Amino acid sequence: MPWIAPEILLTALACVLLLVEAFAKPCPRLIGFVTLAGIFAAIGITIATPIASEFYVAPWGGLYCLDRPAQFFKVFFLVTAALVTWISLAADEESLPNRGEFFVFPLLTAAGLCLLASTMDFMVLFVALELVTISFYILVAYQRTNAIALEAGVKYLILGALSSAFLVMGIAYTFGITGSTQFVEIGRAIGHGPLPLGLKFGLLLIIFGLGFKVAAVPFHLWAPDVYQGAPTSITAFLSVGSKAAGFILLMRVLYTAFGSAAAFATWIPMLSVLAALSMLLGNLAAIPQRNLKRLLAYSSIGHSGFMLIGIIAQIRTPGLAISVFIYLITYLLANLAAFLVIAVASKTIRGEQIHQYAGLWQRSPVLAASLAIALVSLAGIPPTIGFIGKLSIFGAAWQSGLYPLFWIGVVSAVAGLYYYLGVVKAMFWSEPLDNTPIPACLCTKALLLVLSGLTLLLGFWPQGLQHLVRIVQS
Amino acid sequence: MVPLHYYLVVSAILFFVGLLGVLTRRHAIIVLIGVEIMLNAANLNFIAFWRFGPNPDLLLGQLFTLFSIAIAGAEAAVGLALVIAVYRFYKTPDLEKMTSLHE
Repeated sequence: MPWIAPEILLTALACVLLLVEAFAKPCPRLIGFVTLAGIFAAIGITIATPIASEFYVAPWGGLYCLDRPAQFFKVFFLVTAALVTWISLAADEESLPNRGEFFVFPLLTAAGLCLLASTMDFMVLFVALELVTISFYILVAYQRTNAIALEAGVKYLILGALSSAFLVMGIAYTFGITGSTQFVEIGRAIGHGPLPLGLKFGLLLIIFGLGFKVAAVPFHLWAPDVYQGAPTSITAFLSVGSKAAGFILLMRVLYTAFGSAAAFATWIPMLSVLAALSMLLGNLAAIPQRNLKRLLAYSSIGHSGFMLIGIIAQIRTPGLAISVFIYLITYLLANLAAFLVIAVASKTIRGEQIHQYAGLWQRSPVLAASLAIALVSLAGIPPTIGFIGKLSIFGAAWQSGLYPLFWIGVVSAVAGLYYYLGVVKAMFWSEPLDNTPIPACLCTKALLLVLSGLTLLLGFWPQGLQHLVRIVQS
Repeated sequence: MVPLHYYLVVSAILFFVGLLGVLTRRHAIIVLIGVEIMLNAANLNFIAFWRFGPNPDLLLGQLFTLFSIAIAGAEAAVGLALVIAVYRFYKTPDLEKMTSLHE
């Protein structure tokens, strides 16, 4: 069964490593490197798997599909998981209990994320989503002797479980009205008629559940606390992996299952409100933040809003929304670079407050420059790749005539400049609290160079990005 | 036979009882119980919809409910472990006592 080989490999490796960790007690870093090797093997398998020429192949009677977007998202999730493992290794937090197991759980999360990329059925969606979420509950509260981590874990658990309950209830109503859990069958059952009331209710609850995953306002309440309390590598995983998973699910569910004109009329207003609120609140609430991880949490809420515009704007395009794919790539590069810098720097400066990053340029030019490029890219300033991402989203919004959302987006993006550049200003033009240099190993520096290099290179040469995305769409 | 909408009403009542529990109670265990009640409300819905649906031979509703029960169990296991860790640290299961975030 070659389609599902990456998921099988990751799950089996996680089980073996858990047993090895329990009985042999090897060095935690060794487990980290084995995890990394396993993820690279899964990337290789995913890329090597041939894709059939039809729009999607559906093994297991239509529960699972492996089309180009699914392959793209699998590679996206696995690259994220690999970089997250790298951040865990670079941070090497001695305070974590059972550090070996800490490297194993991301494998299970990655397996769940890969399954989510291919799901064509609400049953698979629910099981895979819970695999991801439950392993995140464990990872977020991993520092279980730390008050902040515990509080973050409890908040994530309760709000996460609540959102799962809403999602299951929504799926139940959808199943009740249409008699199926498969996206294609649901789309066929809806046909071109108006949506019955029960189905509208189900759709509302499903958007509740998925809105929590992408941290869109008003389902964002968990994000700032959880981002701040979780270990830095897990914050990076949540902000990139979990969010991208929410978007592929939104695209699959909304375009395939709820893809009729009557269904559009139901969910487009809901999603427009979520997008507008997320952009405004995310970018405005980030301004007074003093903690860098909390600031990135609010910024990620704002980015969810921008990507929701992409989903609304491209309902008529064949395949899935191109601008969201481009935006996710820019978001991955910038966010993971930023969190890698935070993970490495906080080993020396023992904190994530912005004033502690003052004068970072004098203490470590590589870290400061990488963080600055990442933040400038998140702000969407040319010539970074973040500008290309914003441009494609706003272009799609303008072409679809979403003028109110377009202008709200522009205003929020301008407000975003203020706090991103505030951090850059502190790093370059403020006096450092102390002048001890911040050490970073050669591998970390090389990785930062690659991430920043791609951020700049693809900003100058966007055709490469467009070419990649066109391959995904074909 | 009891008609479908009776089941839907019971399930909706259960769902709101659970939601009310999550939103108003401050004891961590009671909040977890509230979430479980909500999940079971959805399960009841699934079984009812399956039984009254167009093709009950497909067993789709039962299948989903079995998965949902197993996952709710896993969620409760992780949740209770977390509550124990919290209790050891704060010496209270009261969620309002946890206010170390919010700088």
